[in-house]
Amino acid sequence: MSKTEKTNTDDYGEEGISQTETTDIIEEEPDKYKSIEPEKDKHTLLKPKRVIIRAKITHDKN
Amino acid sequence: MIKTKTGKSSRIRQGDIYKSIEYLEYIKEKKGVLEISKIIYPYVIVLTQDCDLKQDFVNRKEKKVKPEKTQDKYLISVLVAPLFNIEHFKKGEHFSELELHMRDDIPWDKTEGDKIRKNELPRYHYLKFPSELEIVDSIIDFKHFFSINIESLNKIRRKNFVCSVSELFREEISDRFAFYLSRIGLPELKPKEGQMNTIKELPPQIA
Repeated sequence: MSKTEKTNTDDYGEEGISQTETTDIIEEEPDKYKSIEPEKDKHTLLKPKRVIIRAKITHDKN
Repeated sequence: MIKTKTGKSSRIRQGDIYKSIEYLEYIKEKKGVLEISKIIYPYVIVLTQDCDLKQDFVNRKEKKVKPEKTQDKYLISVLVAPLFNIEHFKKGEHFSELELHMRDDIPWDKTEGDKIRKNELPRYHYLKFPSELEIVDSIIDFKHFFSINIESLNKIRRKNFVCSVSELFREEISDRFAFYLSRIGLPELKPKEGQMNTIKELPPQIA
C-alpha cells in the first residue's frame, strides 16, 4: 500500500455548487429508504425504487 | 464464496460495494416546477479500474498542495453495476418497483441456473458473501451498469460503504464485465426466400 493510501483525509471537501436559484420541495413520494432503520437484513430486501421530487422554483432576491 | 474486506479506505476502490445509491433519471422544468426523477439502488459495486480511481485521488490531493498542477487524472464519474437479492432475481421481481417484469423462468435446478451460479453466463455475476456481512447472496446484472458522479459518491462513501470485494475476486468481476461489454452481437441470418436450405435439402441420414 502506498503512503497516500494510508492517509485518512477526505480529499474532496464538502463544498457544494453555488446556486443562483433556491427551491422549495412541495411534493415527494414516500421514501421507504428513509423510514427503514439501517438493520442489515431489512436493507437486503429492498429493490430498486423510483423517487420523483417536484420543487417550485423561486428566484433568489439576493 | 468471495473474499471481502470491511475496513474503510481513504478512497473509492474498484470492488467497493455501497448501499442506497441514487441514479438520476432526468430533470425537467415545466411552468416553474422542477421535476427530478431518480432510482435508488439498494446496492451497487464499483467497476471503474482501480488505477484510475487511485490516480484521481492522488491528483486531487496533489492539486491542493500544488495549484499549478493540471487536473489531467481527475475522473468525472464512476462506473457501477447494481446488485440484486438472489431471491428477488429468481422470481423475476428485482425491478418490480419500477414496474418492470424480468425473466422468472430460469430453471435454477437445471443447466441454466447452474451456469449462472458458476458464472458461466456473460451477463450475470453471482456473489456469495460471507455470512457475517449484512448483504445476502446477490447477482450483478452487467446489462444495467450506470455511472455516478465521483464527488457525489465521495460525499457519501463512508456512510454508505458496505464492504469491498478482495483483489482477485474483483479482478474476475472486472474481467467478466469487460468481456460482456466487448461481445459482438451477430445477427440471426435466415435464408432468403427460394434459397436452398442446405440442412433441409440434405438426405435424412446426413441432416
